[in-house]
Amino acid sequence: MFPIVTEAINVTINNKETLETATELLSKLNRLNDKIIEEKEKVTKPLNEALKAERSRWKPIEVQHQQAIDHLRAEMSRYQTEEIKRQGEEKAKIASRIGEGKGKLKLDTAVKKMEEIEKPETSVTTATGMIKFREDKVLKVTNLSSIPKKYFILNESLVLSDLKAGVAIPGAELDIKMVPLNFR
Amino acid sequence: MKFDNVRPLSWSSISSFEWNPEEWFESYYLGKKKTSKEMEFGSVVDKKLQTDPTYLPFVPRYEHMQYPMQIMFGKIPLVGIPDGLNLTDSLVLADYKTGKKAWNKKRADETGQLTMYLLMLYVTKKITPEKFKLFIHWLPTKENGDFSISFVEPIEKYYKVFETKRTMLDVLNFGAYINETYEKMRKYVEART
Repeated sequence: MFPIVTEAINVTINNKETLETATELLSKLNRLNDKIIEEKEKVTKPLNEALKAERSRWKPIEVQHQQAIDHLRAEMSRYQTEEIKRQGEEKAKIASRIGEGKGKLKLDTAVKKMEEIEKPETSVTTATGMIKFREDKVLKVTNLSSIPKKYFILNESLVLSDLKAGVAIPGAELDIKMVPLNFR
Repeated sequence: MKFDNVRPLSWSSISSFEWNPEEWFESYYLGKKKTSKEMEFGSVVDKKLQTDPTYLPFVPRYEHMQYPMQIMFGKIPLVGIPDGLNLTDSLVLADYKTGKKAWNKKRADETGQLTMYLLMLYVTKKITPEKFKLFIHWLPTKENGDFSISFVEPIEKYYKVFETKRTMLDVLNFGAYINETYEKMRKYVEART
């Protein structure tokens, strides 16, 4: 560890003198960081500019391609999800008819009928490529008020900004914390 | 060799084929059945649970223990022997499991074995699967390092029960799966012989 770092991390502030020592060290460290940033930027700035230029060159076409890709993927997903749903509904309809008596289906007859249902394609192959579908489990909220509390995350930044704006929020209040600003 | 369809399909035969068709062919079709210390241990436990009420008394027993069923599903003979079955005061179907590989709710929800039993119960007794309470009783085991197996101790602490359910749609899907598997078995035998 560098000597200035060792010195700084061993500081405990408990009076005016140690607060002054800490201010001195903080200023020195921040000045050193400013120099580091200056040196770094001599290399990174031209690199970042080149990166920015190259990205800008391709961005318009990438945006258009992405729009097209997103549309195709959304359409494929919609179509396939609907097909799977259709198949599921047809199967459920057959399952509900299983039983004894008039108008009911025997189990093996029901299985045969189920096997006749048009199955969605699981993959599509063309000359230029292929797609396969996989199941993605996504969330569907059916009743927000039934969901237990542990699944909710507090929007702390919204609570803080509303409190600062004077909104009274039960269970929250503003607290004060002193933070140093270093001028060098 | 033509695939003869007089051999009843069991859950273990179906899952053996899914796992490794060649092993299935050797064990179930040619009759060169292999056993393992885990299977032997499981058989001993099943038998003791069936015959000795003082053995692992915390594990529930049922009206019918090792209830044999054999049916024709279309042209396919099926056989199944659930470990536990209640048909009188309540409808309960249960299976006892021993082994190292953990059972959990997901595995209990997905196992085809219970679905197969429910299919057979529907065909024989016309009881729909939704009416049954289903349980998997898992008694974990471990290897002792000397080719023997024993329960993970204390047994009662590690013993777990998983409740699951099935619908008629599950049974219907399983019926289609039996047909599909049987057809694959037939093709395998005819290609193999």
